[in-house]
Amino acid sequence: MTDSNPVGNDDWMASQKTFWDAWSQILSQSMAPSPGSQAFAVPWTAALDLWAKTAAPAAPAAGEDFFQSIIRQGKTFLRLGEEFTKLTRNLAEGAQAGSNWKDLFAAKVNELKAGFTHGSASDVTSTLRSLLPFFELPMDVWSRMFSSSSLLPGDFLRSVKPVGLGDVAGQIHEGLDQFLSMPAVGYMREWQERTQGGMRLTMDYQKAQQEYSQAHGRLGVDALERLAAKIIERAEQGQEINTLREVYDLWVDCGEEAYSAFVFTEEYANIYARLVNAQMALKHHNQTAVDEVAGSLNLPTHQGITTLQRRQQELRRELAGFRSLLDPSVMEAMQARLKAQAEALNGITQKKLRTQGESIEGMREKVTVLERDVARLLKDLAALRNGTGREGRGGRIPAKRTASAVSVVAAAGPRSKPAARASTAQKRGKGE
Amino acid sequence: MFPFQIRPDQALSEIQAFGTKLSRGLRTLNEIGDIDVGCTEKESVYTEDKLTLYRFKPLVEKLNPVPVLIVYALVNRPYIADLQKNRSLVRGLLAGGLDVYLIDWGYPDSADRFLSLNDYINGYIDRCVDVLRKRYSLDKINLLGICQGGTFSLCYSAMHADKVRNLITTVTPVDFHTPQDMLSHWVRKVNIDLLAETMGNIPGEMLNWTFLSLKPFRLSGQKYLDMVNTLDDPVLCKNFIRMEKWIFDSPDQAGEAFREFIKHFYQNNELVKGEVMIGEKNVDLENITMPVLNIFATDDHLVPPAASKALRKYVGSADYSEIEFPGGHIGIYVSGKAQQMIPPSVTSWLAAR
Repeated sequence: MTDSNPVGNDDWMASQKTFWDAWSQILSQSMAPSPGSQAFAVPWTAALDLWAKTAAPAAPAAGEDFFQSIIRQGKTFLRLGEEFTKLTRNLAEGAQAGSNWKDLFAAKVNELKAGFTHGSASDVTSTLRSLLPFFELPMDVWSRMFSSSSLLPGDFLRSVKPVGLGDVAGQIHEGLDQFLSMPAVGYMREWQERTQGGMRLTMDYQKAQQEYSQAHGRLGVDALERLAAKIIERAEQGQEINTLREVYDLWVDCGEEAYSAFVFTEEYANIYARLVNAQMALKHHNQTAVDEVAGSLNLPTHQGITTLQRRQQELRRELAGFRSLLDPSVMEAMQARLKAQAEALNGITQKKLRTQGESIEGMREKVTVLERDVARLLKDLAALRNGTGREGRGGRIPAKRTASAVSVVAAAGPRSKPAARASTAQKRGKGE
Repeated sequence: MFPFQIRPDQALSEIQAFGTKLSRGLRTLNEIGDIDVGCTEKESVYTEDKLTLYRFKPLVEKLNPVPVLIVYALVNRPYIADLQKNRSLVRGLLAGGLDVYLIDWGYPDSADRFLSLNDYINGYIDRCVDVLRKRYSLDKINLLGICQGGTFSLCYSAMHADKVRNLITTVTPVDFHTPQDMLSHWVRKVNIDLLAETMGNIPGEMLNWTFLSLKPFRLSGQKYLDMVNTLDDPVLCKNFIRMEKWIFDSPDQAGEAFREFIKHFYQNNELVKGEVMIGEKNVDLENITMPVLNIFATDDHLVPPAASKALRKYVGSADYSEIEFPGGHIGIYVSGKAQQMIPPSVTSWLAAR
């Protein structure tokens, strides 16, 4: 709470007011205020920094992160104000001395651009860099990800500054590359190969990291060029910049524009992928190395835990499957499905049986007709033998009767053939 | 003309005003108390592993007889749909007479490393849908997907069309290779198999950074400076912190599901090609024949409008509608404009079906 803070809000506001009043008085006693006034030498950031340090403990836990974010941005805003007003003072002084402010501005912008690419110690450049959030944010997260399973605490490569390192790093990498290409020999051959592999991955990651940082340095230059162009454009259109906040907002707009243009390029996609892939490859290598040590001490390994996680998930899947089968609604649905299938099957069977029954009945009738015809035929034959036929002994069997017998044989089909053959044999046996 | 007309006395007063606002802000922060999220009363009706299926307490007596199941994304937490009383999609739907359920995925840990998309979609979502079907003795229920949850809902509806009566998707990526899709552009060449194998689960912090990186100047800088101007208002201050809490409340992602989602959706764009396999089932958007309402945001920097609007081309539904919301990816749930527009549109659309 405020009461617990030795430098409470009211105290700070009162002291701040005194501070500003004193400066206002100085200003009013000097020449008429102008953009080139020395008044911009006021150490705003230092004042806020001191207050933030004393006020921070008073911030409630719920809003602490939020408060810190605001203070951080507040400080960068004030730093921008400090540095930018120094710049405008120089420009105003130059203009008063008869120089063209645009030339002076262009020279200053070039100086700032060099700061982004070659790491000059310019205050303005460092302020602008601090306003480029991605200079810190992504690398911070990646290094923490790296660190979480690195053999070394933190991201040791972070201390390797990319600025101006390009050529030197190239030479070092070339030398190391030759060294790492030496074939491994002897009893420790495998260990040596692994070590060489690890060093090569470390170099790859370092290279990708530097590439990433350098790309963002170029992005800073682009943002700065856009800012300069916008300021010149405003001047040409007769638009004034009257507040520090306007400068800040202009810088944010330019930064977002430059960033958006860059991150959509193929180049960025490649740089980003190389950074992530190189980091993961190195981290994976380190995991394997840690696993070997853990395995030799009979401790759980990353690989072993991965296998357990995989098996456990498979078991969970199976369990969920079994549970779903035990659900009453599923059982009911299955029963209903089975019943429907059985009924359908039953219907098909009954229909088939009916059809077959009808077919047998038809055959039976035909057999009956056949038997009747055969009996009649036998009767006719007997009559012929006895000479009691309608045409008398030795007479011919009537053509009508013969045709009838043949047609019956044909209608009876294959099953009737034996009967027909028997009839023929009977005839032959009788010498007919 | 010389453009810089920042007079020292004006600059001093600007800085003084800034300091004063900061001081008042600290006082406000001390007064606002705890930050609460999720304003509507709800009860748990089903749990499984880390998943909880909630039912929100109805606000009206006469309810639409078909319940709505909200399928949230695996990224961030679902209370964005019910952030505070005057910024709540859920309350709007309840007020419109809907019976609202929501899937809360919880916070996966290393034991969930191998949860796959099949486990999420044909497992968890399907069982939640069955719970509601049984509870209401219905064959089909209504689905409402949010962002990645919308993509999951599309996959689910394509594979289980017999269980979904109406489908609503909000800021849902469908075509993952549209020109303005920055996330897709970034991950296209990342070795996602190696990343997942190495990291196991994907840290929520990594996702936070990724989302902030979409607009780094505004999201990690300018918005805090803007907030200084309203710090002396306890209500606005609390709203802002509540939103901050949600932004940084990022569960880790189950490694396997993340790997599959990035590879098959973001890298290979298989959803629109009809090639996505969830378990042993193929996802064919043509199978989505139920009515579809697709809501997207014009200024969405995470899911570009074109990525969502592509759905029209691929679904098999003869009853397809779109709503274009003039705002951003989050604004569609929490902005004042959204409260007036989205819930009434959804409730009336459902009432007609």
